[in-house]
Amino acid sequence: MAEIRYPPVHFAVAPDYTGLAAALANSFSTELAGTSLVRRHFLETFDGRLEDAGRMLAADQHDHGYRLELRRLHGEHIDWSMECKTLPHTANTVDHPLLRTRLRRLIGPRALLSRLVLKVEITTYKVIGEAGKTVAEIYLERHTGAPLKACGAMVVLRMRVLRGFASLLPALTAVVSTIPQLQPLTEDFSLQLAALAGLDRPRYFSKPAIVLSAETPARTGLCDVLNTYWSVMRANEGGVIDDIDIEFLHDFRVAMRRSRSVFNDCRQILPKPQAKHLKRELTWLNRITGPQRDFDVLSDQLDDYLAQIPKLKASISVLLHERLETQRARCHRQLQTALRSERYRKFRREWSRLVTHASSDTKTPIAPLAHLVRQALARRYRRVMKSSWGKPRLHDLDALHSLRKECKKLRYGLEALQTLLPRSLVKTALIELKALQTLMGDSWDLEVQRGLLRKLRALSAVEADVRDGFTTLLTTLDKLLAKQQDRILGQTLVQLRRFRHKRNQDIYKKLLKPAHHERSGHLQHQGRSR
Amino acid sequence: MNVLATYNIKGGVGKTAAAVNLSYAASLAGYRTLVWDLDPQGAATFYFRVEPGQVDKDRLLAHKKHGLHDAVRATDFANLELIPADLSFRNLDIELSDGKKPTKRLTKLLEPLADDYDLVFLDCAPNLSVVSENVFNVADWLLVPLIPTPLSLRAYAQLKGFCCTHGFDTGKLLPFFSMVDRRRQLHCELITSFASEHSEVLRSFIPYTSQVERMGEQRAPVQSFAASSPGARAFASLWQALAGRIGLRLRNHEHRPALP
Repeated sequence: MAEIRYPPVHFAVAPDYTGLAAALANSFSTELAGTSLVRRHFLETFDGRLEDAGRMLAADQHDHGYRLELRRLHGEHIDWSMECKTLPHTANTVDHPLLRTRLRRLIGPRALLSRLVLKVEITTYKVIGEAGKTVAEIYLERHTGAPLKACGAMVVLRMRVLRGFASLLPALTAVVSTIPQLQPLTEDFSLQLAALAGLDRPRYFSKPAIVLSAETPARTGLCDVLNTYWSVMRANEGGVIDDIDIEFLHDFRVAMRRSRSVFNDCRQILPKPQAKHLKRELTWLNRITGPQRDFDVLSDQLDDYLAQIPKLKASISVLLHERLETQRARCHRQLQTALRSERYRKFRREWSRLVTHASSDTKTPIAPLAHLVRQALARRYRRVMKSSWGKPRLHDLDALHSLRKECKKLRYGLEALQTLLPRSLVKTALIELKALQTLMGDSWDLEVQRGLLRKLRALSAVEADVRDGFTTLLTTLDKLLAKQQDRILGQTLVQLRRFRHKRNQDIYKKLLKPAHHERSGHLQHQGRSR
Repeated sequence: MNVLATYNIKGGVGKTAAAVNLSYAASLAGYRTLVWDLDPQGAATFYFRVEPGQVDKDRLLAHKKHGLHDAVRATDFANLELIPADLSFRNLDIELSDGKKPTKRLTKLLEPLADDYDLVFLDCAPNLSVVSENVFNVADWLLVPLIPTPLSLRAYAQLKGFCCTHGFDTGKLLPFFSMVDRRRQLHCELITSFASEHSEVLRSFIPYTSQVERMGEQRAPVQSFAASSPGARAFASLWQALAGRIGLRLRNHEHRPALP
């Protein structure tokens, strides 16, 4: 792999470019180096993270494998170019450590999907400099394929100087610019190709912004919130079923839990029998998605844990990975069956009806949304304070888990409905809450992972020759996780004190105190309903 | 990253031809290869058609991280790059001696390239200096071309003696015969006797051929312009023997298309 620091120059070429070769030959001392045909995959995450980061990742499939190219958009320069045997599906599956790290930073654990696949016929010309040395290469790339059926083909001329000859680039660009058939590209050609193929920019946000106003009728506001989360769930559903990437399930679960939290907080404003049924269904959904996610978290972090164990035999760690993968696959099959079941289809219909039609019910009188929100959040906050009251029993993990769930619900509520509350106060209130919740989450994750490892030990029938090594590894891992858990629990205690600090309590008091107009509005409403 | 140096105290034995042709063979085999021309004469630089005098030596030595990256020039061949030399490299000894651990500075300089290349060939000048000691430290293998003449073999004995007395690993030494004229009885006798006494010698040798001499005219590795010539075949065979000895897995031998 090579880091390429020179700026490639791109030009659009008229599809009928007869004579261009002659024009190039007249402009430089050129030599036809050959032609090749590749399949070019433009890779992107389903939420367009690469484009957001101003990057383009393409993989040219040729006879020996793929050539990956990570490039800045708008032709600034190529970041990395490397050969690989197979098309990477996530950043983790990229062979080269530097590109892997860079991609991880750009897309996190997201899957790389072939957004656009085109056939590209590449004609390469060498630009010969002094002493007959090749100083630059010109690629004439003719993109064709089914997605471009409407427009036929797009031809791009790309010029790059070889490493160490960047100083020649301006002169070469100036000469190429004078060729009449060429026009400098104003937009990156990958974006133009996507536009020609009719692809919209991927629009997906795992944390969509929900804008509400105090005047929004409560039911309409609630439905807006639930509808937004519902769209996130729907966007991830296919990825969960097909098991493309662990992030699909993560986002699906987060959206589902947020919906559940808001739904539970405000369900009194929804039709009662329907709300009761849907609450049960949301609990079911949470239960069926949990086991696979637990394995996902463990698998994702296992390499980091194993790296901390000295003198670990590769065969034992491979065995552990295999066993985990088997268990995970079993959980995935169960989840897949559940998401394809009639029960889930029914839930989808009912939930969809609720989030789209419940807002049109205007018969039932309801208090203003802001008031309801404050009431619900105040209730949540009181529960959190009650659960964390007194000397925290940090080693009672179940109590800590209950506290964590309360904190989570409070946070989800605050985040979903933050546009109805003073912005600066919400921001400050969330800082300590998030930190506390993260610590408790980490600790609980470790507890779950220890449980999974114990379960694995009980389940796995291991061959005699590796049994001792495997058992020792599980014991060592358990000790390692227990040690980490103890460290995190210590930090949790400190964070809990900060959360319960008088200053933080004052922030919540201010935040959740009803505004004057809300109080009067609520009284008017109560008067009317009486 | 494997570092291989072509080195001999004696000049004119075919060090540069070996570095250029073996690196080209490595690049054909799919290895990302770099040639660092440490010889002030800049013969390898000339063979690859790169202009000398393009490298800021002071920057190269001062900036461990970017110095070498900036000095690298692409050659006309895929997977093969070069750090060119020029006459200013004649003072490299003095400048390397200035810093701390003077015999390990090349090792430090090459560290940032570890992820970029599979193989680095160092084409050394014919002398025994601080640069040479740096090379002995950094190189995983020292390829020593030998002409089958008494003086050349004496130079190898001197080199081995120097390595022994200065604590360098003599197991790194990989001698091979070059410029062999099998019509000469002396060449045949010396090769036989040397091979019987030195098990480390590579079993492939480079014959004295006009095509190898023509490299200077063509300014390219012999395999690129006369692939079926005896010289090209000899270098291909030497590369295979070398790869086998140093434990490189031979990858596809087909030339990969240089895509953008």
